[in-house]
Amino acid sequence: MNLMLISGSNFHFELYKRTLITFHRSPLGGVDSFSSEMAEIGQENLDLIEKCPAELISSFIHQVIDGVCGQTQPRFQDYSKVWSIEQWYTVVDCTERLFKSAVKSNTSKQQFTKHIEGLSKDRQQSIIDCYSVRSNDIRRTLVQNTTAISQAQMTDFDWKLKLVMSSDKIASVQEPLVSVDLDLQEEKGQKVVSLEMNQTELKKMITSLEAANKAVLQLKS
Amino acid sequence: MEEVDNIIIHTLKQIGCDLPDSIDSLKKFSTELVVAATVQCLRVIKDKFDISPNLPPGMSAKFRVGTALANACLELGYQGEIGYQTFLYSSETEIRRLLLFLIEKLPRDSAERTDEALGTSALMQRAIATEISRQLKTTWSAPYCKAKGICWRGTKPKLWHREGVIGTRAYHSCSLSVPYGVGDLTKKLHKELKQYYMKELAVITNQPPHKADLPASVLESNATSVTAAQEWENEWNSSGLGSGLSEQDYRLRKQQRLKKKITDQLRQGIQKSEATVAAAATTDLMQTLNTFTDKSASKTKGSRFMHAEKLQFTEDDAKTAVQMGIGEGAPKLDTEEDLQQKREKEVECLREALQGLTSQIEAMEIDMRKYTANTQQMEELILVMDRSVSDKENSYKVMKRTLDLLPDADANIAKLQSVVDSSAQRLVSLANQWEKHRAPLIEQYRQLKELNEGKVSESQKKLEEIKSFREKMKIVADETRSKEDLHKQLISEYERMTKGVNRSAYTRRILEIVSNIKKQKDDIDK
Repeated sequence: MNLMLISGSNFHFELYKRTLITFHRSPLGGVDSFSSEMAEIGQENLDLIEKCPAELISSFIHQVIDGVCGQTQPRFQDYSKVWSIEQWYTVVDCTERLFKSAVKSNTSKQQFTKHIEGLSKDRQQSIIDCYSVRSNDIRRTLVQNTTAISQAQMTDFDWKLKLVMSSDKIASVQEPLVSVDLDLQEEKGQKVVSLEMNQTELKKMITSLEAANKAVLQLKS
Repeated sequence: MEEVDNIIIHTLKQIGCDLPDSIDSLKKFSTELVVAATVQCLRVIKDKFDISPNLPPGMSAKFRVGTALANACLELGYQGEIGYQTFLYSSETEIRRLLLFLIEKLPRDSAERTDEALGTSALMQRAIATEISRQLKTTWSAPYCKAKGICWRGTKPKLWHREGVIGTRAYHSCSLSVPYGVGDLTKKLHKELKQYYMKELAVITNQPPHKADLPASVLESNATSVTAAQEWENEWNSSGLGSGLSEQDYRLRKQQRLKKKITDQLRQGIQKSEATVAAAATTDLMQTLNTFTDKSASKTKGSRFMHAEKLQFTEDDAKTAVQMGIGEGAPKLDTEEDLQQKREKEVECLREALQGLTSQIEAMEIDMRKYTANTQQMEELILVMDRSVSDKENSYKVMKRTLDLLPDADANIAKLQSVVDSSAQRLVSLANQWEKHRAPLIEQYRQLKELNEGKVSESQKKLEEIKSFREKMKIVADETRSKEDLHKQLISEYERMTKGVNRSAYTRRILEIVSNIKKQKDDIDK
């Protein structure tokens, strides 16, 4: 769940510009950033990718992309016969960067093939297929990561309904309480904010959240 | 009479007598059972009846208990012979009469006291109490004997509860990907996409990094899709249908509008923070913004902004150049001063000349304005004069004609009269013709107007009808859902309820009573 406020304050803007500058390491043009990325990846890494047998390569690439999208990442044990552990790290990192920059600069299939000409034909074909199938997923994840740039963003929330039967001073209390845990992703790291509310406070929270939702809908319309 | 026995036994069981199941008629009642039943009934009727239901062994004690019970029944108003012998040496009919009388005397609440306090809070309290007492009674088992802290107890039904937090996991969801567009068999997917769905796309259970996150992820994806669909429906119903565009057009328009809004906000942010950050970064950002928006729409803005930036840069360059110029060595300063003085003198002369010329130009402009105003006035005068001249000419002509006609006055008058008549008639005929033309045209006009209005109101009516249909659909769907729930509830309740006593016993009894009463009435009437 994303709660994002578009504000024109300097601070948020600084963060946004900083991350954009890290995304584009050189002055913009669509193909330039991708080819500069490719230059950084270099020929040795393409050789590493070449080492992978042709039947495993598409599943490897799909697993790498799953890792980018937040699902299970590829496991070294499955590919231990192909690469050593250091090669594994470099190959995974390079493939991630390759696909991320390709999606960022919206490269077409022909431009992509031009840049991976160093590999054999069937590997090129499988890479291109993976790219065309998954580019939407990668783009969606990158956009989500960009919109998550904020002072604090909520990743998950959890609620429990409790009934307090009695306390040490009062024999029968019978009060329903709800406890809400919010997982926040802040700049310093993850934080869990726990709230415990009775019925009136819960209603207040729900009305304020509905007001925030209305403001977002008004912005959208 | 067996049905009556069934009713009696059923009622006795309800008020709390422990009757063994083998007894199904009053013949099989033993004296102890009779005494126990009577005592129980009396206890229910009167609160402070404290005779024990067990018949004491001694004869005299039995006699005392029997007379006490008989007295109690007589107090209640039992018509008929009763004494210790009814309890100790019982006959079936007497016992039947006695028990029927006592059951009739039972307060009406006793039948309903069993389902007291059906309020939800009381039910919940009772359920909580039973669960806690059950859990307290279970024996302790070591943590490694329970899988993830879940402990199964009981025979039928086997109930479980969780001990400790060993198996719990925080709610953490991650995105799941599901094949999209596979349901529609008419549309074909790309070959690569099909390949991916069939071979590479992992099953949902394998997608989250931790298997335990799977339910959270499924809940999250379901909730997001449901809320997205609901929001889209609300938006479509409220503003989408009214705009009259197709769904795709509406979505495209909305996307463009939102992109424009975002770029405007970002541009404002750039302008605000321009003073603090180096210029190079902002040009980067401006270029990214230009790639986002449509180039045709924002070209003027972008170029204006870039133009403003360029001007700023030239100013900066000029400033730096001037600063560099001032920082040069001392000997060149004198010549510079002389040069500056000369330049200043020149500038002053030129300024004076400029001033003179500008003042001349202003004076000439003022004159020009005066002349144009004058010419306008004159033209107006000329117009007025012309008009008066033409009027006077007309009046002169008329007067001249009348003077000519005066000598032959009568004939001329007659002629004039006829001319006037003919012209009047012509006018009338023209007016009629015009009326004839006008009427059908007006009819046509009215018809077309009505058609037009009709179309607009028809479309509005249809839109309203669509809205009302949608609302009705929702209402009907909700109703069906609630009715289904009710149906399930009632079925479960029905299955729960005991089908103990059959109705026919009660109905036969009622009919007997009715016939008795009828007989009595006839007797009274006799």
